[in-house]
Amino acid sequence: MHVEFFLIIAALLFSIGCVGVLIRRNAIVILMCIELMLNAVNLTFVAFAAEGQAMTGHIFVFFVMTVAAAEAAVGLAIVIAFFRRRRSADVDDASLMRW
Amino acid sequence: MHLLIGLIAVIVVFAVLRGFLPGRPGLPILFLVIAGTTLAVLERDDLLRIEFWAGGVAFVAILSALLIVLHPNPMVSVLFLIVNLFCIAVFYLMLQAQFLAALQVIVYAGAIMVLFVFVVMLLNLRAEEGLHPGGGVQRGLAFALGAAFAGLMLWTIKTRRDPPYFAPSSFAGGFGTAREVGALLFGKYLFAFEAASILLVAAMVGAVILAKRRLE
Amino acid sequence: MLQRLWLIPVLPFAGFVLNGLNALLGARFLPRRAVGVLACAAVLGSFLLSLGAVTGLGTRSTGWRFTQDLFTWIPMGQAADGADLTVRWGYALDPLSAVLILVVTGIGFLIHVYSIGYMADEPGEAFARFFSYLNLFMAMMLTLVLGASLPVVFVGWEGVGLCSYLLIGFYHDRMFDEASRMTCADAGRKAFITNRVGDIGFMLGMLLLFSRAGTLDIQGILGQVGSFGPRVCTAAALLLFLGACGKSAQIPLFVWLPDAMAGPTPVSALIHAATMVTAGVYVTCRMAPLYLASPEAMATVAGVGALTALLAALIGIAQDDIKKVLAYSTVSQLGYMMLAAGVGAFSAGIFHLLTHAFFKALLFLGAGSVIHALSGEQDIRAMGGLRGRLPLTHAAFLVAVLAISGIPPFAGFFSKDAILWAALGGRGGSPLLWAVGVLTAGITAFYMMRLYLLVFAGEPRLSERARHHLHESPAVMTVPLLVLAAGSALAGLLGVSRFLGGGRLPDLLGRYLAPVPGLGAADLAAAEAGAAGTGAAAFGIAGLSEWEALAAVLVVSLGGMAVAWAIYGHGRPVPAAAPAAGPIVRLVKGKFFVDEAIEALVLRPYRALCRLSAAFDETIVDGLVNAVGTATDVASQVARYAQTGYVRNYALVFFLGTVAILYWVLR
Repeated sequence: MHVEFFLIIAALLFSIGCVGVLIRRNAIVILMCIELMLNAVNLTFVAFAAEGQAMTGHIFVFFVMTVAAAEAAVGLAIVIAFFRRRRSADVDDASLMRW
Repeated sequence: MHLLIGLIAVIVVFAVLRGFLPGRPGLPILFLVIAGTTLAVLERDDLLRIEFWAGGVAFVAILSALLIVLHPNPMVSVLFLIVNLFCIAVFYLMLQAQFLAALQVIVYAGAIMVLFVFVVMLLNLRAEEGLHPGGGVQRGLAFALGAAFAGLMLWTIKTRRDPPYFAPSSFAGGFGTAREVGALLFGKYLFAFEAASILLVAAMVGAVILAKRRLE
Repeated sequence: MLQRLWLIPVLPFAGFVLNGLNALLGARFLPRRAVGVLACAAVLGSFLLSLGAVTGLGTRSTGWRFTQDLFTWIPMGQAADGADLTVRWGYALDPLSAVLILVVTGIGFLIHVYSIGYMADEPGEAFARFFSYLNLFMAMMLTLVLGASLPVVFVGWEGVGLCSYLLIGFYHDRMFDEASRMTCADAGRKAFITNRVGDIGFMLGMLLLFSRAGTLDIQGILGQVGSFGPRVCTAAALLLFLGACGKSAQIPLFVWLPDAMAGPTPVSALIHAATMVTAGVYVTCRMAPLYLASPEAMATVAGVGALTALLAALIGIAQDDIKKVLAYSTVSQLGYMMLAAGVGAFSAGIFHLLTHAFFKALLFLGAGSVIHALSGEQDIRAMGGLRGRLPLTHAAFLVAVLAISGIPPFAGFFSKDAILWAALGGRGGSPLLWAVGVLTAGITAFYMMRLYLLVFAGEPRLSERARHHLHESPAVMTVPLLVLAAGSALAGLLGVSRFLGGGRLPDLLGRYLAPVPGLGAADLAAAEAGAAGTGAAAFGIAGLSEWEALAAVLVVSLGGMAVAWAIYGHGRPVPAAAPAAGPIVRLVKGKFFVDEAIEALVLRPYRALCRLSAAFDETIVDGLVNAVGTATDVASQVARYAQTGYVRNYALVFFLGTVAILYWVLR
């Protein structure tokens, strides 16, 4: 299997994730799109690790997963706190700091 | 590759039929099953080839990613993300990263996504009214940038790399196993490992404090 | 003793510092008596040192010039042609400066003593302040006279201007002239600024000479005069003369001197009669070789001097304030000195400076005595009959009046005659200059006699208050008067012209000044030779001998006095203002409207320019600065709309930037 195949898949997934972050209004869906992006990056790391026969890529993915978990937890906690205040998970409602 | 293309075509037709016949789900499903099985039998050689499975899983991964982004209901988005994660896990297996594949399913799909499901249900979110992202400019520009980014990445991959081939037999003995990962984690990357544990503690504390009900 | 030359300016400066500190601290540290003694002792010390230094001059070992370099003031390296540009602070003593320092310190000492009595009514702080300023003035004047290079002279030059300002405006809370709402501070400012206009000329002249000679040392410059070329000489001479006009109150920069009478009378005596105003004459004589090299400059100097003498004398006829009469008289006599310089008779000019110092200081101190006795009255129409009441003052004043009128054997006769003879037959002289000088002498005699008669003779016209307090001045004031009177009487013997003395009383002063460059008999002879054909001979008055010229002057002077006697003497009632006697009277009474002309021609456009500049500053400069602020404000008002508050917009911009950077990196 070509490494490019996996790299292309990862690039496409990453782009889709980016578009999702910019398009969706729901905070949780945005967080999920971020997770999608992180997964695409993980895939790239693993692909390069396989190509170069180096375990370093796997370690990187390990830590990315750890950090993604932590980040998801804290992000969702924030969404919950925000939801308690505003009764809405819409990101466009968090726009008080504007002109 | 015929099987792959055929199956994709069948699924597309299925989707179109579903779209045109909303009240009667039976026909499209029937079509799907019959056509799919027929194709599988006809081209059963393809089933043995890794390219078929890689392409199929890739198709599923991209399709599910698109649906995450485009489907209005957040619950549905969560479910599709889980599908996507499973696809990624399959990719890991194909890339000789067994331990990571297991980790992906257990941690990512098993713990993080469960968290997402809980939160979605807790907040009882409905589908968004329309998908209007707050401005045509924002949407148009987002799509354009996404396309540009994808194009840039693809171009870079295509023009900047010499394709080496690898086959599973060329991997070293313990490549991708838990033993190898463990050896590195507790050896060379011990500090990062410990730091990550502190990070997790901090995240735990932070999540608890942020989500706590205020004592009014 | 010559080694102590540097102490001569330093002693008064020390007095200034001590009395100044005392004044700053509220005059608590030195009692009044100590202040006066300290100041006078400093000047007396300078006088004695000057005597010692002057006696040391001219001996076989030191020669006629002694220079003392104290320290390197402005180190400047070397010029392209190897000339040493460094300016040193040095003093030099030669016969010219010797005469001046003796005059300055001697008369200065007398005036300091006089001031102790005159300023006795002032509060302690003002008393100390006055004497500290007076000492500072002495220090600066001596620096000016002794300076060996032009910058040192200039320091003294500016310093005396500063002291003049401080002392004119000494009564800084008083009004000077009710009619024009001029305060004493205004008068001081007028003096300072008018002087500054002249100083521009001095500085430019200094720069021109520096650029041509490569040095600022006076002897160095004078030695290279021959190599400058006529245009440079003329330009430098005229520029320096402009400075001299400012300091010595020549046309058109004389307007500050009458208003300088706002200061206390000892100040008028010291600064505006005997010393500071003579600085211009001194510098002109010091740079004599430069002037001798430029006939155009000499002609200008002589012309301006003569015209000033005449104009000021005419204005003096119509003045009613005793000090203003004397002020215009000073301007007139300074014109005489400049006339002398302009016709090459520099030593005659210095001679007149010497005699004028004596009798003008005496006149001012006498006037001060009168004012003091009358409790502040200065209008001569309210005086009269003081002859019997103020005997000592009267006697001294009379001596001075006779001296200034040119009556032999008093001092003014000899010096004025020397000048007028040089004006007639000297280099660049002409009968016109001589005639102007003679006419001015007559007018001088007239207004001085008028002053004397109105103040001392006739029936008293005093106010009640003045009559009540009338008293002769204390000894501390009258003794200097008497000393000066003796000087006015005898100083003339220093410069008896050859033809008068018949060989037995040689021209002492002229011979003493001979070693100074430009003042020597050889220079004078050369100057006279160069004027062949333009002297009296060319005008067909070749036969006018010295005796006849002298007789003419004497007749005119006595005639002036007789006219004054006819109008004001014998107790005749003071004539009221001449009834609308036409435009000439108005012209003279209006001081020839010089002040008004300056106001209209110079000051009004200048003020308009100032207003224009202020408007420019406010609208354009401030406008620019404000525009920057406004632009920032406008820009921020526009840019704030980028803060939409939507996270997704911000994310979009992130992404945009990322794609751009990636594209740029990967291409």
